[in-house]
Amino acid sequence: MESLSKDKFQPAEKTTNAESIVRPSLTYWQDAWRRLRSNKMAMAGLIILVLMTILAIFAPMFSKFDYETQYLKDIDLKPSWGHFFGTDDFGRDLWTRVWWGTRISLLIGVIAALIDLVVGVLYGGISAYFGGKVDNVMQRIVEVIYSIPLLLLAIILIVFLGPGISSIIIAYALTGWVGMARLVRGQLLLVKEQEFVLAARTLGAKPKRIILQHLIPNVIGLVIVQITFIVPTAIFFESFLSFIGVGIRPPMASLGNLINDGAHYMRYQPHRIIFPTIVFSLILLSFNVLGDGLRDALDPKMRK
Amino acid sequence: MLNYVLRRLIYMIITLWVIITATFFLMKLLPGNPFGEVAAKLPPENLAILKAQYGLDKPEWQQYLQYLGNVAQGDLGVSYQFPTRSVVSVIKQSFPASLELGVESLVIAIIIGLTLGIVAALRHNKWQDYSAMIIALIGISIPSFVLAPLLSLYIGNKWGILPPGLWEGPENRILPAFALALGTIATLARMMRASMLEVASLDYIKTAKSKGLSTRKIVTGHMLRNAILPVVTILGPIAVGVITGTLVVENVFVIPGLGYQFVSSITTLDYTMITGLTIFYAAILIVVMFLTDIAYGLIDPRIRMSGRR
Repeated sequence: MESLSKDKFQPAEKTTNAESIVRPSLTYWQDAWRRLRSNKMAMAGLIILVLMTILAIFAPMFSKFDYETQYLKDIDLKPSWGHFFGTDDFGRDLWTRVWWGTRISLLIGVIAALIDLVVGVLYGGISAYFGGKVDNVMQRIVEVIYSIPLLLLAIILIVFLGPGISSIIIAYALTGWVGMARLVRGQLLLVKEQEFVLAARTLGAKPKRIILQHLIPNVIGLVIVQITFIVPTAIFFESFLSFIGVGIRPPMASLGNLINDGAHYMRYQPHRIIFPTIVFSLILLSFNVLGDGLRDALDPKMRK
Repeated sequence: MLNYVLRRLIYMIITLWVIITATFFLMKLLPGNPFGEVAAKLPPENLAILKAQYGLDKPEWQQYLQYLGNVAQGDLGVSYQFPTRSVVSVIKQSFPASLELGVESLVIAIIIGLTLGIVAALRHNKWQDYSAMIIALIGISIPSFVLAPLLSLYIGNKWGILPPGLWEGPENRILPAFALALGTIATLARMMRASMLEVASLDYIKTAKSKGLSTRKIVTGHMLRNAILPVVTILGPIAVGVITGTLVVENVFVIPGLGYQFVSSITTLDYTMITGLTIFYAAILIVVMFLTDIAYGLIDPRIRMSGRR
């Protein structure tokens, strides 16, 4: 056996501070963003949505035409450089009307989602936090509202309030928050049994503080995902109302009434249905893939 | 289990009562004349007779009680626009077509949707997965009121493969049932895929694989029953979607069903018809939700246990 000589050994070099963590630590949101960014479909959805929003805001502003002025000399024009999407049977420029309609539809979706968010989260939070009798009563109310058909409520409200954006939003929000409330309650029932909530309660935190500081932050990922599904549902709801004839009334444009108008002229002027449908479908599609991506990105169970 | 069913039954009745009450009083809030424009020209005496005929001369609480009593006996009132037609007779006449359409589309959707979902999950991240999910996404993002007229125009009219509308032979069923099914196919496929993927990562599937069972046995014997659970929970909302979908599809394909009646009663502002049909729709939805919950309990014994508490 060969003897070991000293020169075969080298003193280990003292690295500078082996205790330090090399990579910077990521917060929950940085981590979620990093994971979302690597999801190509979701990023495509996000980019399309940003583009659509920009177009919806600025395209009508910079257009030579507005959404309601009729140019009876220019009716039923095919798409051209003067009118990117052509014109309708009153000579209104469809490029302007489509983006104006996108603006209205997005507005309806976003406001409806915000109302759902506030009401649903508070209702679900209170119901889950107090539990017992309060929860029981509140859930029975939810069950009753959940099973009332949205459509009739919307129709009656629209007749009562007059057709328009606000009545559609109110009609949607009146029943839309229920889904959110159920979701939040379900998640909170899981969270509230965990030790940190018990700790907060032992330290004498008031219910309001526990709900706002401890419980709601734990469901926020779920809520964001839900919102990305509520917005397209509300947009869909508006166009459905247009189909049965109680949606946004012309000359005001919405994607719903543009599509339904276009459907009547589908055979001879396909451009009238194609453009609003493409925008509408892209918005729905983008929200859906973005929602899926967000769910994967925000779900702690997916963390590795 | 029996206790649970009974409790749910009582809630069902309460929900229905709330809906009937709400629709009744919302109707009373509506401005204008319930008999339409013709009646506005009538002399007041005749209008009074007309009102008395419909019981509109009594105080509202009496009208309400009478209405409740009538509904309990299965009488949903008489149309204001066509005094010879009662709401119940309209339902009897037009519901079968809607029911048939709904059931056919549900069957199509369940078969195609679940298959797509299962295939996508088994071939996760392969081309089968991507194509199944693209089909599903198209189903979600193209609304039925665009798809249905397109199908009717191209397959029905221009290419003449299938009839573009009406409700006569079995060949009339295919297009509307498919148009109605597409949204459901998409939802079911996505749900089934996610749920299959989740089940596939569980330990008991690893056990089954290590025992050397064939893929077919693992899928049918071990995965499906657990994977289908979350899917069953959304059958309730799906039924709601199918029912509202019939409003669109029946109008596009000119099918003499309840959805067609409902939309035309909205355009003619036939108030009794709208309320009557809404109560009927609500009753169906509530029963469907009830049945889904029961089915859920039957499939998953764990739910049955907790329902008894």
